[in-house]
This record gives sequence, C-alpha cells and structure tokens, in this order.
Amino acid sequence: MSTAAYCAAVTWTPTENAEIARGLRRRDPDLLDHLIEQYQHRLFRYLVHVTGDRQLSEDLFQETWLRVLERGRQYDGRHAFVAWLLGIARNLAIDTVRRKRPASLDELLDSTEHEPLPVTDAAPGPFDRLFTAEQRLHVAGALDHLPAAYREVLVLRFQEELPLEEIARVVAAPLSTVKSRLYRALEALAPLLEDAR
Amino acid sequence: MNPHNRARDLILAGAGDDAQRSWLEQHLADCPRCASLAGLASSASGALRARPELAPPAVVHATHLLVRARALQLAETRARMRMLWIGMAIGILVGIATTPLLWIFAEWVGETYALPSLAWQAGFFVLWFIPASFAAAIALAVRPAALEGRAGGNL
Repeated sequence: MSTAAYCAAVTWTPTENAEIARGLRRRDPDLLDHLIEQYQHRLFRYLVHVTGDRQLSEDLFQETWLRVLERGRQYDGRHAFVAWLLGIARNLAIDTVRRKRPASLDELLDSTEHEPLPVTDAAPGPFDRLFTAEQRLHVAGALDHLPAAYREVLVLRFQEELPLEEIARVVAAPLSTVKSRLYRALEALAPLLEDAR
Repeated sequence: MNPHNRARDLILAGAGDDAQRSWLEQHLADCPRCASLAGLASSASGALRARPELAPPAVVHATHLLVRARALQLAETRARMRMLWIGMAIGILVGIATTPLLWIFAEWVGETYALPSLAWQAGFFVLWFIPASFAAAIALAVRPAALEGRAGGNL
C-alpha cells in the first residue's frame, strides 16, 4: 500500500499503524507530510487546550513534529498513532511549562487530585437539555478555568473522542487514574457552570 | 458491580452496544445523580466540539518545510556517521592484522641497529598508534558536523 493511500484513511487499523511505524523508522518525509496534514488540527487543538496559549502551541506544534521525525523509531505501531503523537506533545508541553512556570501540569494535578470529591447535587442538573450557543459559551468559559490536567482529559475524551485506554497511554497514567481524573474534571465543572450562569 | 459505578464507567467511556445503552438510559431515568453526571459529560462534549481550534495554515506550512529540512539533515548525518563507523571497523581490523608484523619489524630494526629493547619497543608503539591517530583526526573532523546537524534541528 502506498503512503498516500494509507494516509488517506481517517481511522487507522493495526496494519496501517504498522505501516506508519515502518515509515517513521525510515524517516520517510512523504509519510510525515501526510501525517502532519492528517493530524494538524487534533494536535494543535490539544496543545491549545493543555497550555492555554496559542503562541506557545504553535511552537510546540513544530517541535512535536520534529520530535516525531527524530524519535519515530520508538513508535512500535501496536497502538494508535494519535495517542503516541499526543503523548509526545504532552511531554514537550510539560517540559516547556516547567521551564517557564514553577507549576507544571503534574503539579497542578497533584494539588487537586487528593482533594475530597465534592458532594454532587442529587437533583437533576440543568444540563440535560439541548444546548444553545449561549450555554456552550458558558461551558467553554468554565472549561478554561479548570486545572490543565482536568481540561486535558476532557479534551482527549470528549473532543478527540479517544478511548480511555488511549488516554491512559497519552497521559502515561493507569486507566483507573484516567477514570477518576475524568470524573473529577466533570465534578469540578459543575460549580463553574453554576457560577457562569 | 455497583450500578452507579457501572453507569459512571459507561458515561465516561461511552456506552458500547445497544444493550449497554438501553441499560444506561434506564438507569439515568431512575438515578438523578448519574443523570447529572451524564448531563455534565454532554455539556463538556458539546462545548468542546463547538469551538474547534484549527492549526494556522502558515504554521503547518512552516512545519512541513522544517521537517523536510531536518529529515535531509538527519539523512546526511547518518550517512556520514556510517562512513565513520566503517572506517573505524576497517582500522581496527587492519590494526589487529598488522600488529604482529609491526612487532617483528620493530624487533628487526632494534637488532639491526643494536638499539636497547626499550627504544625499539617505544618505536613500535609510536608506529602502532599512527593509524589510530589518523582515525581520531578523521573522527574529529566528522563528529562536529554531526553534532551541528543535531543542534540545528532544535529550532
């Protein structure tokens, strides 16, 4: 199968992942061109959500693809390429944020993960309705106020629609941690949404 | 499994098949707490999808060029390093093969000119190190270029 043909697919099968792994081992520039085209928006979106900084995300976007070129041999093709790609982007973002600010993504997470779970209102929330544009704006604003580690899992799950197992791979954490982080992220979103209303 | 935990897992992971979906719907109808969580998930999902961030075309274009240039640089460095390794391997093999001959030659020179053992043995070591010195000089000439190539990629 040619590079162009297998890159045209939106969803990668294990065989295609193996083809990508082989191409990355060869440092095939054509394959990289196709991968950049294919994953540009997903990668950029993820970086913007995680760092909260468009300019920084643009720099990290380029660095991530250079890292993919240089470390392509480390991708074994057994798992989805996108998870590996976002994992690289995540590590670069953490390193950069750590250099710029004392509080990294992990530290932000540490400060919130051990807090007791907030008590949920047993009554049905106001969110069971269909969304209006205004409501979406409220939610988007609330998302920006979440800690980066929470925003990250929400983006990976609900925007990138990655399975939990792949999210665990991206954030290099056990599946149970991903589940609890997602749960806590949603719980943390509730009061912010209430405030935004 | 506790039905609330099961519902929570399905909300977070996404209900897979029809049976799971229908079970979840039924549970959400009876459980306000899980329904609230499902609502939050739906809110987050809707809001995130409503504001897609697109990669700026100029950045994507620059990335293509950057990656191409770096790929070329890496290929050149790799070829250069391969030559270096081949040269080193040949040097080692030649060194191993010629050491006894060199020793015999140095010994012969020592006997012919009645030199003290220490002198012809020192001469042997000097001669023995000449190919290695050449190899080191070549390596030093090639290595900085390889390092430059690596540093140049971290833009």
